[in-house]
Amino acid sequence: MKAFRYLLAITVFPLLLSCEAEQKDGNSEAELNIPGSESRVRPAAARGTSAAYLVYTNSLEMADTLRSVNSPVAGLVQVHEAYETEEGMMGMRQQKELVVQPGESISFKKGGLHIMLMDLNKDLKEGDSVRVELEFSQAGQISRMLPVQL
Amino acid sequence: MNVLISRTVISLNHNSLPYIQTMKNLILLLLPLFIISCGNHPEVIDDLGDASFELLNQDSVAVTFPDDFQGKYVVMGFIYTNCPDICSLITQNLMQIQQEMNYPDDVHFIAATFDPERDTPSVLKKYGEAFGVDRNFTFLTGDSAEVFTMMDSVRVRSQISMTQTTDDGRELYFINHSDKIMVLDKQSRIIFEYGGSQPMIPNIVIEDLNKVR
Repeated sequence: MKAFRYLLAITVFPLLLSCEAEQKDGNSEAELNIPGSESRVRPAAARGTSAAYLVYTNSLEMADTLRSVNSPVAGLVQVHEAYETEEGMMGMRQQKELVVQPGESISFKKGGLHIMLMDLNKDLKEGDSVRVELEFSQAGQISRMLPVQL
Repeated sequence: MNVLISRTVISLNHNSLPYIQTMKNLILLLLPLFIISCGNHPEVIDDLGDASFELLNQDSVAVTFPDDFQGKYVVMGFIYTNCPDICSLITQNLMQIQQEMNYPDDVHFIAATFDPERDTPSVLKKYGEAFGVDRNFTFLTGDSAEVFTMMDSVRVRSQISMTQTTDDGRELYFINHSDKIMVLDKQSRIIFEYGGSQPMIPNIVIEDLNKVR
């Protein structure tokens, strides 16, 4: 019985560590909070453009600023916002810095703020996963694997 | 209608009354059916029956729009493939309408690009494959002048708004554009128009289509 417990401990502990490694990547101690099923990357073809959606909650006790976004699948990554122009057309405009107050969230969502993955270096098909990295002033680099999904 | 019938009754003699009463009942019975049947013929927003545009589909096959689709209802959205948010929602709404209607044979689905310079047939084909579009779904592009004449005829506006430069110096541009899905009847007349990217649009389009089919 004692041997079984020992075996369980040495098997489960590395598994827990590996799960933790999937949650955090890079040098950040901040947690990435991605609730719901809306976290995803749009399917797209190589050399095309995709969008990433997720929710980030600032769990620090100070305001934080999103400085940049990156992804290994794209040559150019930016935060864009969809908006309606004065002429009644739909457009996108770049958001260079986003401040998140303590306890507040940024929602990258359909038809609003989203992470633009431009100049894709590969096809993104349903079932694939894409790493998206967010660089914050305080929290450092936050990264997450997002599913490619419609 | 009731007022008219009452006046007629007054002007006739008493022997005619049972006949008039029967007619009145018959009209009252048929009136709701008449009103319902009027509702099945929505007002025509624009008639494209005389229009003809030579375009290309995602397989580089020549398509004459709307002629090649006459005899079917057409649900049509307007996109460009470098727009992953709003235009993806439009494409997804078109697909959702098709799926929820169980891929009807009498309805054809079209996504037409207003960025023909970059959205060549092969780009549109890959875009469709990434989304997993199915049969009875056509992407349209073509010669720029022809595409923009077609866009003008269906009142779809677009305008280059923003340019970004990649690390290797290539320029990527983005477009402000109309957000639109429309429905053509079997005679190529535009009978419904909607904001194309909104999440409630598929249900509304399906409801409207089911009223007229």
